[in-house]
Amino acid sequence: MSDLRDMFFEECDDLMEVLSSGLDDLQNGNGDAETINAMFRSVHSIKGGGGAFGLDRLINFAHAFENVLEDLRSERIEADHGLIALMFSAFDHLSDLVDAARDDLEIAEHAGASILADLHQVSAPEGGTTSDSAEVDVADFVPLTLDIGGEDGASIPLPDLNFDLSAPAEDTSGTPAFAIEFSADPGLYSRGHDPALLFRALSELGTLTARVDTTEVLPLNEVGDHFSALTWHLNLLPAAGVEEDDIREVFEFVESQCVLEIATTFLHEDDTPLAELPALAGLPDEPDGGTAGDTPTTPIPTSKPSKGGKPAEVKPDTGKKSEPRNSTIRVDLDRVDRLINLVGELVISEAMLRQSMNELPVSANSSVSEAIGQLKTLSGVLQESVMAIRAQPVRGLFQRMSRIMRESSRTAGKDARMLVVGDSTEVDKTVTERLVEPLTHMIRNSVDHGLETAEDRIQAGKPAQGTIKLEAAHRSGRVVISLTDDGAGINREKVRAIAEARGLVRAEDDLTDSDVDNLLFRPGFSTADTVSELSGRGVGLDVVRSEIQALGGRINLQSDPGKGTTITISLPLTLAVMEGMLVTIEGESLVVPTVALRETLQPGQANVHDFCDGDRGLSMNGEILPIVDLGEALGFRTKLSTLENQALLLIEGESGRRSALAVDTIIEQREVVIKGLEQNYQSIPGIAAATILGNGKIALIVDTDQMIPTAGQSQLSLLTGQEHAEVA
Amino acid sequence: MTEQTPEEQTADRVEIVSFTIGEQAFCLDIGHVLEIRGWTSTTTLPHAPEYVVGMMNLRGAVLPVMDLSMRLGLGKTVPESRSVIIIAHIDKKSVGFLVDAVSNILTVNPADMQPTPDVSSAKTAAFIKGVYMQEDTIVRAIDVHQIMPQENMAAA
Repeated sequence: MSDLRDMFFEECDDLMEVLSSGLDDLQNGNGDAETINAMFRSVHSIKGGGGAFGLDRLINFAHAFENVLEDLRSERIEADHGLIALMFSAFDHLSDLVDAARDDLEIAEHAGASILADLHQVSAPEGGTTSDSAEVDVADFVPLTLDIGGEDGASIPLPDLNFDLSAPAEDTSGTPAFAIEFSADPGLYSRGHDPALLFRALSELGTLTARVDTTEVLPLNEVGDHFSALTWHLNLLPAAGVEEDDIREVFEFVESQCVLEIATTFLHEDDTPLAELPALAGLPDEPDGGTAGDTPTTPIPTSKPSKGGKPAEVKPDTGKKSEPRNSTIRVDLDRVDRLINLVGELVISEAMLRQSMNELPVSANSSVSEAIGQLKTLSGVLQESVMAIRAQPVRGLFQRMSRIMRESSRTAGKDARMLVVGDSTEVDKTVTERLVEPLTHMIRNSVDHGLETAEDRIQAGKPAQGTIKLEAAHRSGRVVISLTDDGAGINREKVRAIAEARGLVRAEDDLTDSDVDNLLFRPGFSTADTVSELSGRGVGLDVVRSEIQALGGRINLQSDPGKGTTITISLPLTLAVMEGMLVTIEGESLVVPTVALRETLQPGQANVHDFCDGDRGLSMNGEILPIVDLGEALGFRTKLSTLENQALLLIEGESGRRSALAVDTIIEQREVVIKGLEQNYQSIPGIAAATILGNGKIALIVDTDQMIPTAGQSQLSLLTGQEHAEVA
Repeated sequence: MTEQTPEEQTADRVEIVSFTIGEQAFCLDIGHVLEIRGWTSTTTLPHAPEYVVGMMNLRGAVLPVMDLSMRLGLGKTVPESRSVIIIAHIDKKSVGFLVDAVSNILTVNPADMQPTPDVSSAKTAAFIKGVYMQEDTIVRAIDVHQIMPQENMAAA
């Protein structure tokens, strides 16, 4: 059962996704009938699944939502601005309910009550049709509900027939039709047949109406286990070319387990209007509910009697019209990761093999080198394909962000909409997970500080409704996610004034506009009391920046005063691989992450200045940067007497502080596979992780942030604790 | 240590891998041993305790190699081509033990394990959980949980 439950909630995720993209389409005016159908089906399936697990609140709410969608589908109401907003709220609440049900959490009783009331109000303007929605019976969602309605009233999820079957058979002037009487033997049910399915098949042959005769239904306490007391009267207005044999064929497999009578009859144009058969799309279908009570002929909510007096068209099975879904399987993430690790090892083994081949004198042997070349290509493709398994579209993430945007704009009292572009862009699952917080922060920031109030916007000649655009794209091997608002942009004078007041920049510093904009990412810029001073933005953006950098990403901000602000995040496609500069120190290979790297240089002695205790500084563009000898900091050697033969790597840490790392030689820039050290050992100060080089040797990846001294900290104490305690 | 391997709890006969460091014989429970490999060079770790030789690449996994001799206070091992690395899995971590040579796989009864003699130094008491008498040699049973690098204390 818990497996089924898990599966249901996984399905819910997909369904909510369909619903959400449908809402987006409606909002952007791209919605058509199929959009609404798809949304309807989603809500309907959630309701149906919820029924199976007894999630009453979920069902009630989904049912109300479904009714609105049904009204929309049948064009009784229109998807105007207000309704779309309501549906967005309903979507949010529905996803809350799903989440709460998944985690067995309680949601406050009153939560969503107003949305529910609004939904009821929207969906029941003519009264009646949805009045029973709040009392939907769970049992209605079990396929083939033999709900005998408690007392005398029998209702089955099939419509009635307001039409007299006893139309004289000899009257041949009307349209020919088939009157079918069908009653099932108990054996039919025990063999797993389902009359509803048969009727659906029938409905494909023409226009079908059905009425169920429940007179033989026994009171509940007299019902035995071989219960079968229902007789259906069906009337089929056949499509062209449908013969009686076609009808018999439908019942072919149940022939021996039922009583079937087919008679030809005739319909007149002026006959009583027929109730239309509801779309028998997905079982379980529209409930009439045991609640309908004593009137077995009450039309079920979806089947409004058609007005023209003509038999209503049977709705085609909408379930079949949906786009073919990509077939997918669900796999445990652990399994995928194991596969990825194995392929990683394969790639390394391949590189080792290649390297040792090159060292052999037989490298002239072309067939071997050819085979190895093929192996290299194959393992490369294999690795890429395996990595792609972990990649998933950012759609889910973006939908979450849409919701954050709606909520924060509601809180801020601003009217805003979200435009999503490129939500099918695929990113490593871990990356998307870890983007939630920074993006949330950025969106709140945009709404709070980026967008102006409606009055200000109108005054500035902009539409009252603000637009926030969230965009994702692949660009040169990285994922670029940008958030653009059409707000006021950054007030650079104020930013600069604050930065100067806080000592982040000096008054005489020459800063470009972009330099000023990016001051917002500096820690110490954004503190609580700047919020009130600063009409622009700048709350906690340093936190966002450090989170992005922890993912190996870069963040950049561009602002166009009066027109808006764009924050761009550039991320690696996967966390398992990163760009690094391979260097050597005392014969050991080390990797410096490219993310932090700004420049490499060969210092002239003139630029290197000695300070106390052998500390050194590098003068560059009128600035003195601390020089850190990587070999010394990592304990590979004692202090060098001169840096003459050293290469310097200029790095910039998360804090924006910079320093120069001295290394022996710079080999090359390359992509390395990251291997954690904690798994088998423990974290090492100054080292972020390890990687395996083509020759099978391990190279350590430098943690650049720990290599940037802060004021008052000597180079040697960069890494804490020079002694280690032996275990006694 | 309260933590015991399943073998220690149930079987009255367990298999042990015996190996030598210098002139002394030691053993590990075979349940901990994944494989035995020849010496390969390792990558030096900064600020590591002296007994951590470095990191090795075991088919793509990165794991530390410990000089057991150094860890046990028997002096630094100078790795040579005959040296052996025992790959062990202890407390969910993989680790390589650098030893001089692996001698045998023996079947013993855990009940036959004798307590470490009282003459013990602090190190002996911590790392040797007992001894097995095998004919005329003493095989020292290593307490694998204690021998692992201790988090934070060894970090630096």
